[in-house]
Amino acid sequence: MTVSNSKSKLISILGKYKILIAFLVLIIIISFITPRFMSWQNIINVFRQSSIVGIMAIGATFVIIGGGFDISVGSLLALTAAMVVGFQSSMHWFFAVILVIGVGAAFGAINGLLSAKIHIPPIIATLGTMTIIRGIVYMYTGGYPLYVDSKGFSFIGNGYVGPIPFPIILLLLLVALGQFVLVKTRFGRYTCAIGGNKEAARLSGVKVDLYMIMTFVVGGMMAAVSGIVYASRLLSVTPLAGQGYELDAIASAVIGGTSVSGGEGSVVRTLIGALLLTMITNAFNLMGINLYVQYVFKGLVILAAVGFDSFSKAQS
Amino acid sequence: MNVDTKELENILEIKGLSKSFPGVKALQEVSMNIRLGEVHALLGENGSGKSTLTKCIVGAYRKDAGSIIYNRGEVDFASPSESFKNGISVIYQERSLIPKLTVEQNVFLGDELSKRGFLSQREMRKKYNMICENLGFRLPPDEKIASLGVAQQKIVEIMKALARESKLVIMDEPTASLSKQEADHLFEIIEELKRKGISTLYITHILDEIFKITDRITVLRDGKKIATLNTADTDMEEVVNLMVGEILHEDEERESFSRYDLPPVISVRDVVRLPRVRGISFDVYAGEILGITGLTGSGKTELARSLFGADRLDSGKITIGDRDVNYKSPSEAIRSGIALVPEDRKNDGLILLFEVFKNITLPAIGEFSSRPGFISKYRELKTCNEFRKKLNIRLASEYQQTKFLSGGNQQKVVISKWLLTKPKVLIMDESTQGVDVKAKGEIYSIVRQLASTGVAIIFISSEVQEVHRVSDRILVFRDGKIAGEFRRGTRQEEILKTAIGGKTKFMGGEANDRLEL
Repeated sequence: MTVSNSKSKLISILGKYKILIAFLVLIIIISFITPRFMSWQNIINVFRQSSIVGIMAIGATFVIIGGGFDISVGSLLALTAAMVVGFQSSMHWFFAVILVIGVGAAFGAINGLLSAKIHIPPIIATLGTMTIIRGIVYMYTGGYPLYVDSKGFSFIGNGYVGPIPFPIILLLLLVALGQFVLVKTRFGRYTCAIGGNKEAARLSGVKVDLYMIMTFVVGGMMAAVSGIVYASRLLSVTPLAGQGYELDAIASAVIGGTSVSGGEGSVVRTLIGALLLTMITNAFNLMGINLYVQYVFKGLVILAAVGFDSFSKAQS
Repeated sequence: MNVDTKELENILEIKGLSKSFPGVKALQEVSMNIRLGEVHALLGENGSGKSTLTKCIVGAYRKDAGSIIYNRGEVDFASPSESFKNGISVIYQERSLIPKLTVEQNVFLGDELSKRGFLSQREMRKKYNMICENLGFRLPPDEKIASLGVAQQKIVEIMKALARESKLVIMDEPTASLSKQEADHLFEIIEELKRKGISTLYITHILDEIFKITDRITVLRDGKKIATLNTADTDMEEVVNLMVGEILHEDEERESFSRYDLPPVISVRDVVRLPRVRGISFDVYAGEILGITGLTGSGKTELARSLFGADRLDSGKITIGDRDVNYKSPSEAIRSGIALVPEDRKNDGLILLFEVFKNITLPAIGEFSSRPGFISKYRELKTCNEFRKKLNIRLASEYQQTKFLSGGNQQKVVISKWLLTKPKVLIMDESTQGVDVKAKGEIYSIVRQLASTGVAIIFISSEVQEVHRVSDRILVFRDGKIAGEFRRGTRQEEILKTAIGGKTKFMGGEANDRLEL
């Protein structure tokens, strides 16, 4: 009993920190191979490149922990990015930003309603809205890129606070906020409860539909924020923006140990997952390895992360 | 007695089989045998060890001690699929067919006939027809399972067993959801199996079936074999007595905390939730422990869920205090002071991957907020430790995942979480199932202690003995209605007889009275 207990404890500790361990090991290996990797400039680069997907991944973490799945956030990034640019022709950028976050929340609510109330499996519901939203992006932009020129707005994506780019600060702030909400608030606790066992949560008095919808709302709002950073960084948006981002966001969450069956996860570890994904690209670029290999390697990392989790669960 | 011939005529022989789970001796040195071509009944109350025994036979559980001799050789199956390959089929209570496949596809599933790697439809159809002929019964092979009735599905499972040339078929409550005609049909098929020399181990609670179709009866109680009898040489009275065992008639004298002088805490009037709950009315008073018993399927659990808002009522009225209520969700029920310790602890009662303290605080998480919406973990842990002491919950730490606790400790966690909501009415549905003896006793005293503080308790259990022991008043459910009401001190046999429908009515074998114990 004690032996198996301590063994299972060891496995659970390994499971919990495997992402951190893999992260550190990778850093050490890469910095041996390419000394440039550990330079301040490159570290800043890795963080900044992670910021857009990282913010989106915070939302994905909530959705997946709550037992859902949202693949529409890539399209939603494009829509909110296009809108935040478009709206600025008729209002101050600050109001455009606020409005667009509302748009993200609204589409999140729609995704949540389709999943929780109509009972469409979340991945299919959001497959539908993903396509619809992308269509709206084309209708809104007419198929052409949109441009914006606003110094204030540009700060979100290009500004610096001291030596640190603003998107990184925004990312870290949102990660801290997300982690706090997940661990310290009723909403966070209920999210874990619903993903862990929906029926038991319901029978404990949790309004499961409402809170499940709220996870999708968080997902939509985070997608909107990432859309805002995206638009601000490039000061332009093409209708194709954000394609495939939803997959990187989900990958960040699951590499960070968010259980694909729901109930467990951490926003901080999702951030590490996002950094890990970016680092792989970054290091491969530094080493001059071609893009195709990067895809294969990224895919393997995802399989390894989820495989470890799923396999150890099936064993017990 | 000639040992050789005895061994020849047994298809299965079990010697000294034991199996324990943490805190529970599920089987203790059980020995029995099943003869070739025999229909052998396995009887016992809930928790007597019937399902553990079958699971040990087919290899779903590893036995701790003892030996199993099957078809003249000692066996130790590693899994049900291994025993299935060797000719032991199990027909489970819950259906195990694939609804979207056809009858024939299901019959051959996992053992398809093939030629050079391709499925051989013709061969399978030929064999299928042969099986039908053997059974003297024909089902359309291309029909989807989903479009068949329950009885026909049972027959498909039997056909599946025949396709594997099974020598022993274990049937677990096969008639549980069958009508009388369907059940009769099943019995004919069991007769047919018997003529072919195939043995059947028949697990049921319905005694008249046993007298209709079985050759011998083995009774289990508390994990021990009590007796094996020839069906022809015994009667229902004797079998019931063996199942229930020595009944202690000394009533432990104890105080009743029931406040019959006050208006009832909860009134239930003509509550209907089809198909199982068909018009139930009763009152429960402050401090009262109302026991509800009845056979599985008599509507106890469904009533509990309806009172708690987990399922909607079809009709009827529930009054709490002086307010009529109609809950749309459990959260509303909880707010007005109802709590439910559900029957299925693992799936409905707990979030197993949660740390213990998180399960305890879940329904009342609002009370652990320093500011609205925020949780104070310090207070959570403090409360968790209070309950740990008060209810004697054995934990490695408050952070232990709930799935690693024993059944009794898990149940105490469920009870703790409801105590935190300070309920006026606590419904406990089969709250001692899968719980060891010591924890059972502890749960009884928790119930009593709660009653003494004025909580109205609805104590639901299919074990007559514990309802008898705990309750101030007992309702017996039968077929979705109240079949009897008893005061504390009524003899257990009387309660049990009411539950199974009384002797005369029972032997009549009316379809509606055929329920499991």
